[in-house]
Amino acid sequence: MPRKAKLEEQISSVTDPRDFLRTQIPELSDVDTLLRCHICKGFLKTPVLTPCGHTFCSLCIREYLNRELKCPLCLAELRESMLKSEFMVSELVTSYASLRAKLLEFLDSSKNSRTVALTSDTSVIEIPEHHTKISNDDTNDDDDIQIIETRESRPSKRTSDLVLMSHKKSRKDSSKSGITSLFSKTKSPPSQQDLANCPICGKSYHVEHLQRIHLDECLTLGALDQPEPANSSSIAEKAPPTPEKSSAVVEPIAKRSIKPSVNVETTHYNRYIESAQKKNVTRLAKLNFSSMSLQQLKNKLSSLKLPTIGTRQQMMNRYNHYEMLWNSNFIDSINSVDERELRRRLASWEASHNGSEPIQRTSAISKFLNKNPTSVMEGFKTDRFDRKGWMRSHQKVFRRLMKEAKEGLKRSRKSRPENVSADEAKETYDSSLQHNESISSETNAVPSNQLLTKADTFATSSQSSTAL
Amino acid sequence: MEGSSKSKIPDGHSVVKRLQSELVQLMMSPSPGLSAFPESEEDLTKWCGIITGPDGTPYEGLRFKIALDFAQTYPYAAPKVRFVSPMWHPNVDMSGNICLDILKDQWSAVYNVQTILLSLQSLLEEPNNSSPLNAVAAELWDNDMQEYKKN
Repeated sequence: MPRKAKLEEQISSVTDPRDFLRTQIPELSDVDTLLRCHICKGFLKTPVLTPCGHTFCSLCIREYLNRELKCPLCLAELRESMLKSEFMVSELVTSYASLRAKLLEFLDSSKNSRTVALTSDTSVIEIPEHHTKISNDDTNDDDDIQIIETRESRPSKRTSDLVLMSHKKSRKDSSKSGITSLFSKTKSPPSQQDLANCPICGKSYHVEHLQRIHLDECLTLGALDQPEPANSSSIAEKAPPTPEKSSAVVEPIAKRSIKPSVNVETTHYNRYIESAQKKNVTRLAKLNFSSMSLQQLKNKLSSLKLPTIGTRQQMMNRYNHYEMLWNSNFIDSINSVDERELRRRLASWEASHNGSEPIQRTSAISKFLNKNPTSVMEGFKTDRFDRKGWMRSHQKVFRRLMKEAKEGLKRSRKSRPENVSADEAKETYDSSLQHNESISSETNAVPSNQLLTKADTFATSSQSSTAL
Repeated sequence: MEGSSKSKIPDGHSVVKRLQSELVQLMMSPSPGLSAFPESEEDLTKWCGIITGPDGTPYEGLRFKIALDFAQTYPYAAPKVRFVSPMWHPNVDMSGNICLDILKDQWSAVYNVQTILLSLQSLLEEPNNSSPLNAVAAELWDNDMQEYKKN
C-alpha cells in the first residue's frame, strides 16, 4: 500500500486513546477517551455541560445546536442557553493534554523496561483487546472516570504510583495539577502502600490525610501565591527515569518544596479556583431573522462592528457564527479573548465557509434556475410542480447532463483527479439552491447520484411523453 | 484556539482533523468484518469501506464495497454512503443508495465511520421491510427466504 506512506505522515500527529494500550498502564486510554469531545474527537476545548450530563467542546456543541436542538449523544432536548461551562474539566483537560506526551513516553514499556519490574510484559500485551471494548462502551458516561481492574491489579497500581511519583520528580517545571490528584485518588490502592502525592506541593502523604486535611491547607497557601504564567508545555524535554528511584523518593521533594517553582504546578488549579464567572459581558441572543428587515440586520451587524457586505443569507450566517464564537468565548471560557480576536476568527471562518458562492461558474442548471422565477422552485417539492412542462422545457439540458455525468463517470474510473464534471454539476446545483433562499436545506442533501437518477427518469419519461 | 491549522483548506481542517482521528482509531482497533480507508491521500473526504456479510444471513462470507463521501459540514451532517458492490437488499436500491435512518434524519454528530459500517452490517442482518427501496427484495425476504438467497 504505497498510499499509506504519505497518509501516515499526516496522521502521525493525531493522538488516539489507544496510544496507551501499549504502555504499562493501558487503563489510561480510558481516561484519554473520556477527556475527548464526541463531536470533534479531539481533547475538549472550553468544555460545556448539558443538562443531560454530557460534555462537549463549546464550539462543537453550539455548531451542532445551530442545526439540531438535541444532545447528539442521548438525543434529549437541548438549547444553547442550557449549556453550563465546566472550568474544572477545562483545566483538567489542558493539564492532561500538556502532560500526555511525557506520560506516554515514560510509560512506554518497550523503552523503560527497567521500571517494569513489577508488571510483567505479558499482562500488558494481554490487556489491550480486552480493554478496547470496555473503553468503547464506557464513552457514554462522561461524568465518572472508571478505572478498569487488571488481572494483576495491585502490582500495576503500585507501579503507577511509583511511576507518577518519579515522573513528577523528574520534571521540575511543568504545569499540571488536576490530573495528578485524579490519579492519586483513583489509583491508590487501599493497602499499606496508600501514600499519595499532593498535587500542589508534591509531598507524599497518607491518602486520608491528604484528602481531609493537607489539600485544604496546601490550597490556601497556594492560592495566596502569585501563579506564574502558564509555561508552554516543555514536552520536548525528555524525562529520564531516575534510576535510583526508590531511594530518591524523599530527597528531591524536599528540595522542591522550598523552591518557588512549586507555583508552576498549581497553574491550572489556580486558574480553576480564580475562575469565578465574570458576567460583565452579556450573552448574544439568537435573532429571529424572518422578522428583520435587511436594514435592521445591517444595523445589528454594524453595532457589533461586523461587515455588512454580502447577501442576506451571508449576513445571517455571519451573525450566527459570531454569536457562537461570542458566547463560547465570553460565557464558557475561562480566559476570554477580546472582540478584535473574535472578529479575526470570524473572518478566517468566512474565508472558507461563507464566501460568495461560485455563481459565476455557469452550468446549464444554474442558468436556468437564475432565469426562472422562484415560484418554480417552490413547487419543486410539492405536487403542484409541473413535471411535464419542466421536462419538455429542459429536455435538452437533462440529456446533456446525463451525457456529461456518464462521461465523467467513465473518466473518473480511468483517472480519479479528473472526476469533476459530475461533481461540478452537483455543486452548481447546490450553490444555486443556496442562492435561492426559498429552498429548505433538505434539498441540498440529495446525493449527487440520486440527482442523476432523477435527471435520468425525467429524461426518459419526457421521451415517452413526446412519443405519445 | 484554532491556530494549529496545518491543512491547505484554511478552516475546513475540522473535517480533516476529525477524519484523521477516525482513521487512527480504525487502524488501532480494527473491528472484525469491517474496514475503511480514504480513497486517495490528497482527499480525506472520500473513503472506501468494506464490510463482510454477517453469519447466518444470505450475505454470509461476501464482502461489500461501500463509498463514503464526507461533506465539509461533517460531522454535523451525515456523510453520503452507498454500496459500490451490487447489492440486492430491501433497503438498497439498484444504484446502491441506502435507506437508513441514521444516515438521514437520525444522524448525530457522535456517529463515525465505524458506527456507520456497523449499522450497515446489522441492516444486512435485519432489513427494515416497512420502508423498502427495493420492494421485490422486501417481499421475497418476508415470504420466501429460499428464493431470496438465490439472488
